[in-house]
Formats: sequence, structure tokens, C-alpha cells
Amino acid sequence: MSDTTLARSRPFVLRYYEHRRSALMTPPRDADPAPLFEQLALAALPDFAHWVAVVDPVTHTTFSRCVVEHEHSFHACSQHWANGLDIDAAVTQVIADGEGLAWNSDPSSPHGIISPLTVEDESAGAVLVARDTHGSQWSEDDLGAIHDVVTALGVDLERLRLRYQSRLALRASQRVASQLHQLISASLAVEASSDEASIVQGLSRSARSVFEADRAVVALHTSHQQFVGFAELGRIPRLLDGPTALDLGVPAAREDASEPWSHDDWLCAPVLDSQRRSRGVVAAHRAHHGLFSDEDRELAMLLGQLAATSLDALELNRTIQDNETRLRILVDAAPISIVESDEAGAVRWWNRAASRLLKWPDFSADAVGQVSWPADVRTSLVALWADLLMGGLRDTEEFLAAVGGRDRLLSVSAAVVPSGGSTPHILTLLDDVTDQRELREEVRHAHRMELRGQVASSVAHDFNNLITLILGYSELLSRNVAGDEKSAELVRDIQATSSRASTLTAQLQSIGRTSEPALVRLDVGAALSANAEVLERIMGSKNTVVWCLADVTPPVVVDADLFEQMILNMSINARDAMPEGGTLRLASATLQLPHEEVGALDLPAGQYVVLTIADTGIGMDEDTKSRCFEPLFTTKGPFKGTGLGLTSARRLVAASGGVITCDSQLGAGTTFNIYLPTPATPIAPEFDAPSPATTAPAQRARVAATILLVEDDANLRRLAFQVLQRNGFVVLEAVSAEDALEIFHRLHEPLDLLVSDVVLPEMAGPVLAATLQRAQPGLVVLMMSGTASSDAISALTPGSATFLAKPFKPSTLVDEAIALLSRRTRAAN
Amino acid sequence: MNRESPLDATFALDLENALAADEFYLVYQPEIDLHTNGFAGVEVLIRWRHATRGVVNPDQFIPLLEASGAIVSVGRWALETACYQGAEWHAKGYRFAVAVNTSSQQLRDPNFVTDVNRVLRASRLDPAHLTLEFSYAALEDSTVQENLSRIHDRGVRLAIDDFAPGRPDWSALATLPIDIVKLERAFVAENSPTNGASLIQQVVRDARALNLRVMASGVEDASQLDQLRHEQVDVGQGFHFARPYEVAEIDRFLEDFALFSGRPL
Repeated sequence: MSDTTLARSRPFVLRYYEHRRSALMTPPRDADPAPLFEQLALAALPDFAHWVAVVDPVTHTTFSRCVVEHEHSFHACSQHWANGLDIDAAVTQVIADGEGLAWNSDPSSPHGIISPLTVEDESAGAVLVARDTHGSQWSEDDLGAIHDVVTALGVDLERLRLRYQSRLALRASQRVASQLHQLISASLAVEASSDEASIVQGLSRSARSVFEADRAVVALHTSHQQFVGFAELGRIPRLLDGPTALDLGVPAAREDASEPWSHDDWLCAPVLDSQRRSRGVVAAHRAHHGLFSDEDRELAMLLGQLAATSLDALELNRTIQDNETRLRILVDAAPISIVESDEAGAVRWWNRAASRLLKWPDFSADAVGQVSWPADVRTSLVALWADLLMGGLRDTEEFLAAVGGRDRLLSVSAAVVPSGGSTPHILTLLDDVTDQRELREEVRHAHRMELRGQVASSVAHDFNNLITLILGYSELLSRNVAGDEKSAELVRDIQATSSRASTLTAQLQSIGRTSEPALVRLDVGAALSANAEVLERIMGSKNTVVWCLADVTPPVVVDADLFEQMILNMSINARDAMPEGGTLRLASATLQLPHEEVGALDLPAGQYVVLTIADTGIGMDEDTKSRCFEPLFTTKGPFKGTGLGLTSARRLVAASGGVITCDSQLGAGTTFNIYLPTPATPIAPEFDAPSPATTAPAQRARVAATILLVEDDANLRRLAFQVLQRNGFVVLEAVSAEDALEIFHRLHEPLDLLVSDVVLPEMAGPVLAATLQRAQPGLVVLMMSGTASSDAISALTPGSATFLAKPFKPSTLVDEAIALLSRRTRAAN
Repeated sequence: MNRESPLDATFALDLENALAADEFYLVYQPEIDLHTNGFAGVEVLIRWRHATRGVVNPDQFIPLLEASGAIVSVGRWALETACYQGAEWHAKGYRFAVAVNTSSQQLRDPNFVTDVNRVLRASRLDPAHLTLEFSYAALEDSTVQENLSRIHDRGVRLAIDDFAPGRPDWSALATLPIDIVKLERAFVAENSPTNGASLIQQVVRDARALNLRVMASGVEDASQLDQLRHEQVDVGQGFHFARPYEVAEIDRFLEDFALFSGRPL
């Protein structure tokens, strides 16, 4: 080993190590090995070698440095230094064999050494070192130095690769961490989003950042709108309208997509709702970074899900808000007062009904401190609350308390509102039931009135029987006093008074009937005239009744009984409205209602009979007038009026297709107009003024006949017996249907006529009659009743029976009996 | 960069359209904590890239924007863009401040406080990560002081830019909500142990008394850095650390910085 060679080889190795140490201090930017080759050249070229080259066939790297100017390139150098050797082939051979090679040991020629370069135990190329002829021969030291340096270079290259790989791994993990960070930020951001616009802008921003894309888009569509958020590197995210989105080539959502797809340089992922329906798209664009990875596709799906979830949450939130609003409106509109307070009664919240009831201002945060319970109410509530908080269940309670200066009956219930740890709140529900209670009283009163009506009606029935007797006996009496004009006058007075009594009982009977209206054709004028006497009596002596009835009015269709009752009721109202006396005017007229007046009355055009009932009384104020037709509304107070009169009047008129109007002025009186339509085809009225007796006693023909008389009232039976017997009939008496049947079966000859009361103790009159008619076809029947209608004979053989309403005059009884008997005789002939 | 005279006829017109034409863009220059070598934040700088003029130097167009009053809307745009960018870094996990230059006209604008609040809310940037930089002269206006106080209350940090030692009245500064003073570039360049050291040291001492941080801009080489470290300056900025980067580049810079410093930003 010569000193000179050692003097060159040692510094070469040391220089290489020195360069290497300083290179290690600075981090490599990338995997480029050129700086390492450069430091090899720097270490070798000063005095150890004249040409240094590194060939790496794997990376196609060829590094070459030469001391000769302009000949740095490997090709030029290999030409210069080859000296007949095919250097390329030699390098290939060294790389293939893994063994070094020296060429041209001729001292006059350049000579060099090719060493194999090994990285991670694998061939990574070759290192070529050459000296020109002026340099000395390669010594053992030189060869050793080259070996050491090439080995070190291999290690350095390995280290470089490792550092680069670890750097890539680090960067990748850093990106994953950053993406995770951004995803969490994105989900936090969309959670705070209050509308679709902020969701798409926030998410597009996150998507751009997560994918390190230059642009990103998030599009969402709701049932009626489309939202497109657009984020661009270095720009503020914004909303795009449809045309702008098209201009920018933003990808559109796909209806059928359930997986990510690519579109030009865009990566797209669907936004799918819980039913897997498309609600939009998440897309990111990369112009320079190339393809998107599988992880990117996963992330895109994740962002799509995030968008769908946030949209769901938004819609859910809106539903909740809508429900809350609805509930708040409901509570506020509720007619029951609702108040929230703490257990000490400090009021925290209340609804509008509470404001009205308790005379509080409408609820507001400012008003909270200003309201407090009325003392009376509070006293009653405190006990209720205490019970409630002890866990006791209390039903709705009622108590009287002064509210707003008036005694009110309050119905109260309360419930505890759990408030998560802090002191519980109490919801108190208050309802002012004072009016309800009064209404209930009035209904009860009306019921009492109805009951009285029924009692009156049944009393009237019995009373009718008595009047029939009085009439009967007075007729008998009139025959006994024939010739005594003074006594006859008295008897006529008795008869006239009895007739009036009879009219009154008829009116009494009509009270309390509530059945369906039985519509018949009615002559209004005639009906009014028929009740004139009663009306005059009702009005009393202080009042004047003025009649303004049209001579002829067309018939109307109405329930005759209810119509009379209505006239009576309204006359009574008029009388009550004129405590100091006044005038009641009753008028009837025919009116042709033209089309133009239809609107005001809400009636079809046509012909009407207008009945006017007007008084000069105290009149009504607006409130009373507007309520006068309401059921149970009365100004008369309990036990005076039922509050049903005008209600049933309106119901009756409406049932006939008419209207009733009210015109009233306080202090001037009240006028009711009743419009009743007239039917198109005029036919004979079914209800007529009571007709006078058609058969005069003088014309009466005597008929010999056997009559079975059935009447449970002994007095009536005796009267009828006497009347019929005096007229030459054979009369058999029975007190009941059973009695009658027994008599009938004992008879040896046919019966001529059955005269029977309808209402009998056990078997009713019509049933008896039907039984007897079956036993003896052709038997004629006269039915009497004070309460039943002519329906009582509907089940009997047509034409074989007549109905006689009580009270009747004895002569009527005889006339009807003769008429029936003669009809039977004609039928027999 | 285009070195043509900015005073040609269409320059003003082009500048007027620049905001609408989306020709402005922002670059971000890193700031380094001199005590820890950590990443302290970025300063936001505006650039104008015109289709034919190329990138125009801010020195050429900022004075024109100030003269026309357009600086208010351009400044608002820059603030908004920077806040969104800052929030994006925040979302990536970085924690550093974004410093935005604000003109005195902008600070006087009656809508300024509302604008800042709106932008912070919309971008979701933590106010503590926004720093507003403005000149010492702007503070003379009482409206500006009022506006800055309100913004400072929100958590935004305030920095006096181009701070020249010797000039300020420190007692006046004590009453204002200032967090940072940023030493004038020229002053840092002329700094040397013989003449400037005592002046910078004086600034640092006065600033410490008011609990202010001191920043040096225009740090060009290692010797300046050593000197500033010696003088206990808190933050440095300049080409010695990093040039201003566009947003795509600075992401790479941040990544490497985090990787090789081994410190989270």
C-alpha cells in the first residue's frame, strides 16, 4: 500500500462521509437520489478520480460527473474513457453478475472500475470510477475505498427510500387525520344549519376540503325547491342557481344511483333518504390530482349520508316546530283558562282565555311580574296545589270566587308539569261555569214548565168531562124551563159560559206538546178569529186588540195546533211587554214577494201570507233582539217565562218554509212579521172555522135502536144515558170494555150502535169496537174523547164510525147517533 | 410581474372591475414563533391577476383603491375570503391565526363591526384565530377606536402594522385593545447589534409591560434571525422562513411543516 494512494483514498472516503453527514441534517424533499450521487462525485473528483458515474437501470437514472470540461454526459465520457471496451455491455454484465470489473490495466491508457450497487440486498445498478493515464494505478487501498463508498451509497439509497416511504406514510396518516377532523367539523356545521341553503354551502366547503379538490358541489332537492352549494379553492362558498350550475358543468343528481360514479373529472355520490330515494348529489372535482381512490369514494358516500341525515333532521325539526306552533295556537285559542305557576303560585305563563277570565294582560315576558291570582281564587287553589304536589289526585272541583268584581263559579283542575330536577310547575285549568250553571237552571225551569203543561193538559181532560156535563144538564134544564124566559136566559148564560170554558181547556191542552209538526192547510184569518176570544181574554182590560185581517188569504201549510199556540205565546209576550197597557195589532195580508226582495228575507220569490203581531210595549235593545229567538232566552226571569216561545215559533215557521222577522225599538214596541208561503195549487182548507150544527133538532127523525153505551165516568154515562133514552133509544150501560163485552154476549138480538169513550180503564174503546165489529159485522160505532183525535176510529170498518170530540152538546150526541143509524140502514138497503 | 406604468388610461377602469371579475386573490405568508420555532400563523396579502397585465404589485393598486374608496369593499371581500380559509384550516385540525390587513377607511365604515360579526358567524371561524392589522395612524380616529373595541370584545386580536420604534406614545397604547405590534420592515433590515439592538430591545421591553407581543416582518437571513431571537422578539416573518404562498401551495407547506417540525400547528 503506497503512501500516495493512501493519501488519496483516505480523504475520498472521509470526504464522502462528511458530505453524507451534512446531507443527513437536511430533510430530503423527495425520493430523488441525485443529491447522493452528487456527494459521491464531490468526494471523488478533486483528486481520487476523473470520472464518476452511477447507472440505475430500474429507475433509468444515469448520473455522470467528469473533471474534463464539456464531457459530463455519460455517453461522451464512455466514448472518451472506453479504450475499446463496450462500457454499456460491461455495466450490464456487472449488474447481472453482481461482481466488480476492472478494465484496461495498460498504464498508458485510462482505466476504470465498475462496482455493483446493492440496495436492500438487491442489485440497484452500478458505480463507475475512472482515472486517466496521468493518475496512478488503482491500489488495494483505492479498491477498498471504492468498495466502502459504494456500500455506503447503497445504504444511503436504502435509507433515502425508507425515509421517503415513511414520509409518504406519515403524510397519508396526516391526511386521514385531517379528513376525519373535517368530517367531524362538517357534521357539526350541518347540525347547526337552520336551512337547506346553509347545509349545501357548508357541506360543499367540507367536501372540497376533504377531497383536496379544486371544486365541490352539494345539491339537494326538496319537494318544491333545488339548492346547489358550490365551493372553490380559495373562494367563499356560495349558492348556485340552475343556469349557473349548468354553465359550470356541475354534475346533476341521478335518480337511480346508489353507488358513487365518475363524471369527467368529478367524483359524485348520491344523497339517499331513508327510503333510498335520491335527494341530491355530493360531487368533487380534481383537475390535476388525477383519479379518486376507493377511500375517496367511501368518503363521498359518507358525505352523501351526512347530507341526507341533515336534511331529515331539518325536516323533522320543522315538523316539531309546526306541531309546537299548532299546540301553542290551540292552547291560546282554547276557551278554558290555562295558567302555569310554581308551587307557591307565582304565575309564569297563561293563555288568552286566562287573560280574559282573570283580567290579566296578554302573556309576555314583561307581563309575568305584573300578574297575580285574585285573592279568592288563590285561596281555593293553594289547597288544591298542595294536595296535587303530595301526590293526591283531585277531580275537577268547583268553587265560588270573586273575579273582576263579580262572583263567578269556577271549575278547576290542575296537573304537575315535571321539570327535570328543579321545582315542579303546575298547570291550572280554570273554566267559568257560572253561565253554564244558570243555563242549567233555566233548562230545569223549562222542564218544570213542561211538566206543568202536562198536568194542565190532563186536568183539562177531566175538566172537559165536567163541562160536557154542565152543557148537557143546562140543555136538559132549558127544556124544563121552556116558557120561563127569565130562567131560559140564565140557562143560555150558563151554556155560553160553558162554551168559553171549553175553549180555554182546549188551549190548556195544547201546552206542552212537542211532537213533530202535523202540517195541514190552514186559513190564517179563520184560525185567528177562532182564537179571538181567548186572545182578548189574555190581553186583559188594560190592552186594546186591533184586528186588521184581510178578508181572504190563501191557505198556508202549518201545524194548526202549534200555530195557535204560537199566536197565544206571542200575544202573551206582547202583554208582558206592555205592563202599563197598550195596543196589540194583529194583521194578515197576502204578499207577492218579488225577486229583488228575496235577499233580505232569504226566501224564494212567490206568494206569502204575512201575519203581523205588533205591540206598543217597552221594546227590546239590540242584544235582546239579537238573542230573542235563542232557546231558553228569556227576559222574564225564572218561573215566568220558559224562553221557548219564540224558539218554537221560529221552528214552526221554518217547518212551513217561512221566516219570522223581528223589528223592535226600545220604548216604541216590537213588531213580528211571520211570512208563510202559500202552496201553488189552492185546495179547500182542511181546517176550517168551527162549523155550526148542521142538523136542527126539529128535522131529527126518530129511529128505534138498541145502543150499548160504554163510559167509565159515571156522571157522563148518566147524562148520555138520559139524553139517548129521552130520544127513544134502548140504552144498555157499561162501565168498561169488559163489562160491555159481557153485555154484548148476553144480548139475544143484534146491537144497533156502540157509543164508547176512547180512554177506558183496561181495554181501550177502539179495541172494543174492533172486537165487536168482528163479532157483528156492520155494527156502527160512535167514539167520544176529550183528548184523542179522530185517529181513534181509523182501525174500524171505513164508514162505520164517527168521532165525537168532548165536550159536546147532548143534541150533537143524538144527531151523530141518528146519522150513523140512518147510514147503517141505507147500507143495509 | 408586470412592470408597466400603472398610470395608463385603462388601469383605473380595470381595477374598478377587478372585484366583480374575480381577479383578486389572496396569498398567505407564514409567521413563525421565534421562541418555539412553531407555526404562529399567516399574514393575508392581496394580489391582482389581470388577464393582460399579469400579476400586479399591491403597491401599484392599493393606493388607487384607497383613493377611490373601493378599498372598503375589496377589504371586506379579503376579510371574508380569509375567514373562510382560516375556518377551513381550523376544520383540518390546524390551530393558527389569520392576520388580515385593514385600511383605516374600512375601520371607519359604520357597517364594519356588523360585517366582521356576520363573516365570523357565516364562516364559523373562531374569532381568536382572526387578527386585524392596521396602521398606528388609524387609531387616532375615535370611531375606529370604538369599532376596534367592539371587535376586540368579540375575541378578535388586533395588531399595529409597520410599527416604528420611538414614535408611539405607549401610555396611549395602554388604553387601546391592542395585542400585537409588528415592527416596520425597514427597521428590521437596518437592525444591527451596534445601533438598532437597543431600540428593538426597548420596544420589546415596553411591549412586555403592556402584555403585547412583538413581531418582526422582513426577516431575510439567519443573522437577522439570531439577532431578533437575542432581542426576545416573539414572532418572525420573512423570506428566511417562507415566501407568501397561494392557497394550494400553503397546504403543502403546512403539511411539511407539521411533518418535520413534529409539532401540531
